[in-house]
Amino acid sequence: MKEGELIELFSGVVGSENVLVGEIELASYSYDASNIRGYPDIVVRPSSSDEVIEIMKMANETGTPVTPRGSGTSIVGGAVPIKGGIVIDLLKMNHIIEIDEDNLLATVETGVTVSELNKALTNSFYPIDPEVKGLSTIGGVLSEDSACPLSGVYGTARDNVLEIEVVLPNGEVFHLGKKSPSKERHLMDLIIGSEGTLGIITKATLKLKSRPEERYAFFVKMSDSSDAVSIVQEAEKSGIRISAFQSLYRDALREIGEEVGTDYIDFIGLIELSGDPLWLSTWIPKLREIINKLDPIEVEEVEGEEVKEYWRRVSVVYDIMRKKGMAGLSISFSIHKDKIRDSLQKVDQASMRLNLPAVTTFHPTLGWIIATFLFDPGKKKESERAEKAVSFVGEEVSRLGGSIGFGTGIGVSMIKQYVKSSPDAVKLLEFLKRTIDPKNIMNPGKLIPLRER
Amino acid sequence: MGVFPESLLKNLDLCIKCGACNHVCPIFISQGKMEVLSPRAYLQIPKMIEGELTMSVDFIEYAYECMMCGLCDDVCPVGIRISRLILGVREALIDQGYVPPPRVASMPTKLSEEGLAFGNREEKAKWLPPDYQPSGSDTFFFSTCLSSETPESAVAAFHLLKLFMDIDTIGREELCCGSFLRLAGYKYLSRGALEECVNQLSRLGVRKLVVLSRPCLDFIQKSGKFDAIHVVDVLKEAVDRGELKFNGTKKELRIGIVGYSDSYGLNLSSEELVSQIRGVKIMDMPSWATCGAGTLLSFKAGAKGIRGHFLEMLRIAKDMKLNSLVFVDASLYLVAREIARDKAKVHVYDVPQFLSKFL
Repeated sequence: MKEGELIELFSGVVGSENVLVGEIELASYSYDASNIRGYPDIVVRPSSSDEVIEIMKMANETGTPVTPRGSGTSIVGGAVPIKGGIVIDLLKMNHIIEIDEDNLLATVETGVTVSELNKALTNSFYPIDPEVKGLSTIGGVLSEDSACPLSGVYGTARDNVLEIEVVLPNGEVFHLGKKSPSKERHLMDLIIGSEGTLGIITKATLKLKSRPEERYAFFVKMSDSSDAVSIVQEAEKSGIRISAFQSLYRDALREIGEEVGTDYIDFIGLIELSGDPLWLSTWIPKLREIINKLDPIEVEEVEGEEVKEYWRRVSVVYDIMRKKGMAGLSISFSIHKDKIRDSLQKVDQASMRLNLPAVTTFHPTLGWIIATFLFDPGKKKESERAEKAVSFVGEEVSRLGGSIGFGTGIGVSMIKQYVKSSPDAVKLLEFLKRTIDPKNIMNPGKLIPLRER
Repeated sequence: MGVFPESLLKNLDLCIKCGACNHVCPIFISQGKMEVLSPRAYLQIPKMIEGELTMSVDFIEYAYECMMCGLCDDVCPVGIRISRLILGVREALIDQGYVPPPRVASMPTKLSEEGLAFGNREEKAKWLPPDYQPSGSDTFFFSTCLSSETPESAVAAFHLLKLFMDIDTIGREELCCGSFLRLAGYKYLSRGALEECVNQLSRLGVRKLVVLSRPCLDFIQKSGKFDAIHVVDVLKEAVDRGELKFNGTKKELRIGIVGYSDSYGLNLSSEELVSQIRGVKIMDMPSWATCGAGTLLSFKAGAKGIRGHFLEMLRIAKDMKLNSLVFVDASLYLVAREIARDKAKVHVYDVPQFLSKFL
């Protein structure tokens, strides 16, 4: 279909001010937070589910690719229209429909950001905040099945949702789930985490969490990354609920000038306990004992507001980039706890072979690791080496049994590694995709390889 | 052929595109969160011009969308000074000989012919009565280039100042300080203008300078020559000393104050001044209803975002049933006046004009 006709069609649905086709306007939808690029032919900005339905019907009729987009914070290219076509910018669908803090529920439109939701809540919160700044939209969080430092205790996005509304590629709308745990959860799970390749999530009822009454944290410096795993295993045995455990690997410590000497530090970690003061009073001495048995190089204990300050100490990726004036390329994966140490060594290998500094954060409770390779943005060779490093880690981690793209999605960046690591999942996904989206118009090229049309 | 210098491109490349800046940008928020009107896009698009996109009039106009409020600079996790880079883009365009939008492009000629960034001498002569006699004070009111476009601001401010202080002003022959040229990217011309302006003031023996508008105040302060202060802050001091008093109003007036995101002092002084008037109720505006030092310049460049931003502020003011919107600076008032012209549902003032109604 010609551009002029598309403009006219969509203007009829969303109004001409919400149809963008200018060169610079389109360019501004050609990126997200990854290195993936692709220009849309048209950007459409719906304000309601009904408008999304109409847009999808037209796209389906004309066989035009559709890329749904929220805040554009994907680090794997999830929001980039690599096959051109239509970008559906969902940021105008940002109404909080209902908040029920007594029952810890919130119903929101897809374009509401995590911080907008959390600002509207008084004594509860929505725990899935992937970049800890609340920038992501709920639609994005659900589509990518995002994780965050609190996922060890609260799970990922799919563990915190009760209902979704989803528009399928043919324009049909489905309401799945109930305000109570429902039989339809397996169907919701099909859509959640499918990275917008099966449909567009337009609305969701989310589970909220009560704000913890008290916070307490151990800040540890230890000489072996396997100690982190031991802490988690022992804590689990003793019934201690660790609410978050974020660690910085030695590659990052080197960058922030942490002393490396005879007491060689392998990682620093912040282990947070939060909740009822009564629980904390029994957990704290137990955890202290567990940690001390492992012969830590240093331990500090902090509580209350001070905990926030210590979070900053283990969230230094951006600080390092700022100080060094370098850009970064990341890979995110989860792995069986016993293989955390091996995986970290793979990151070391990549860093050495390709001669690029790395900054690695890991979450031992989840077995979740995020490695960022730093490079000089002015040097093309270096950015290519960063891509090689990410791809090396991806392959090695797959071999170790890891799950690539955990917490961030596969997007475009991780497809090759994903196909290698999870061939059966890809096969089943392709089968589902053919059934639900026979014309292959929904976010093509993400999660599973593009098939010839 | 590169348009932008290596150093600028390298700084642009530091952006990790996380989008933190977008979510604090007042215009991004007020304009329905269109990515094209976002700090992240302001950093990305120039890089594309260097590669895949071709230089166009649209792009040159686009380079003037940002109003330089600086909120994005505070949240950038990798410490990019975003507004500085956007100014760098403008400077590079000018260096390379690209012609900015008409009302900006006319500034250099205006400067060399009339010693003004905009407006004209004839108009500038009008705000001050022809029989005005210099008072011989070493404190001067700097009426800025704004005085020819919004004489009502200069008249109100000077009138109020005269009530409690011995103050002089240049009037017709006052030279432009170059601040708007600087914001437009005319780096060298603006420096030259500042030098001449400072020379003129020095020759007149000026020690203290009360400046009508904030962009000019910022730039003059760079010279470090005078004790320069914003007119609103001087009025505030006078009220504190009890030298300036205002009457009340019988009918309750609901007003909103629109200020700068990076000038807390000016916003606060304005609020305290306006709250001196009995019967005036200051209503809280939404947090996005704020401006930057480059607001007027961007408006003159024809920025779509600025226009939309002010329309949205006027719309909200109407929804909030406000009688008036009071802007903390004359340059912001000028934009509001121009935009409200056809669709005025709410009165717009700057602080001195609003206060003058209650003398």
